[in-house]
Amino acid sequence: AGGATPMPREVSPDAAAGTLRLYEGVPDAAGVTQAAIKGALRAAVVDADRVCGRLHAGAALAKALLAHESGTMKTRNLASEVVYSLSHTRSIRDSFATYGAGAATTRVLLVFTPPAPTAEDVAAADALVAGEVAPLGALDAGLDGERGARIREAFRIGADEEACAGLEAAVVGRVAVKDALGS
Amino acid sequence: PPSAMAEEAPAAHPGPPGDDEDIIGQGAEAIVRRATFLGRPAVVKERISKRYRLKELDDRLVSSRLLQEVRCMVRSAAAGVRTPTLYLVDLPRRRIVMEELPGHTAKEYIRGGGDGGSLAEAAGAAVARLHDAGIVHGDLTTSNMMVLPDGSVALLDFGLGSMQATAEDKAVDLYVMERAFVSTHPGTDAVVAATLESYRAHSAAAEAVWAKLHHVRLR
Repeated sequence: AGGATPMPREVSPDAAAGTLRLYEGVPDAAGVTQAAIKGALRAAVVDADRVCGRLHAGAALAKALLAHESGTMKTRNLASEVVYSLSHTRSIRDSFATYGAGAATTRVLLVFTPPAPTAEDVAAADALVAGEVAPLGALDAGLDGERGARIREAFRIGADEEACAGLEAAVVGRVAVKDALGS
Repeated sequence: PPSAMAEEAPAAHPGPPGDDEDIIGQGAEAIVRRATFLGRPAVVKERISKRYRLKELDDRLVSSRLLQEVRCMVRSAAAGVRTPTLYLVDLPRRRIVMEELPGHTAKEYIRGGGDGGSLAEAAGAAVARLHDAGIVHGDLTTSNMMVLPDGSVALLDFGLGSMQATAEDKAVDLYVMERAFVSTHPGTDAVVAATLESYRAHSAAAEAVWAKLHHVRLR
């Protein structure tokens, strides 16, 4: 009798322990993406303006990890699978073009892929990205304005749905079912 | 570096296999367990294999039912019906991971002496919205409705759901709801009647359903 109720099992421990790093004022986001492709970074290099919040990023990482584990990735590696998993579309090219950090990107989100980055890895990333590290709470900012409007349009989220559970929940639901339902 | 994926940042807790204390429901088709997803309260619904079925057939049936359930949830959410947010669809493990909603099931709510009038209003409105989107739930029991902290009603468990519903399908859905209410909660006829009135007030296509409901009751 007595004692705390044990914590229920975490479905995606690697995603739960996943590391995000948000930067603003990034001078050369396209260069960071290229460097990551060449192996300088073990992270997805994402246009932060396209991300709805931490749950969106985490759910995409969990989905990518699941695909990796089950041998069903649509892309070549885990980092690119994270970018694809964030996306509203099943087109890999459009996913990279929209959600991957490119020439016009000034806010970059790094989603590190497991194993967790060391302090040296993070320092190297900071040097490479060369932007100002921002608190992760800023990832949720600006959803009432143009940024939110673009996300709503991309994921086709209507007012009724958003009123029910919120924009991020609606986006996460889309991410969860994208490949399963083939839409 | 900030690991901020897990909302409350508990240590990852893989747990021993088969954590029976996490099971919150078990039926013929699926086991439902409490879990966390990125540290958030979650529910995992895992569909059960039937060993008497040929494996290939079993795989296909389970997948198709799982996907049908997911489809109904997605369409319902898009129509503005509150349902648990889907977090992950794990076809190889035949499971879906979804949000655990706060609040109580309608069953607990009624048994706990909750306000039948406000439940009826909210439940009728939710089912009306569902039906107007062309979806029938298939199992509208008070265990499959959640009363949320703000008093609204969410619908759970679309395992028997279907889309492109006819007026007769909707009438059957309402009839099942009626019967389930009354058999689980004797003496709640007034709540049932109020639920149906709320449905009628909120649904754009209630008249056609009403005509069918009359016939369904007579069968």
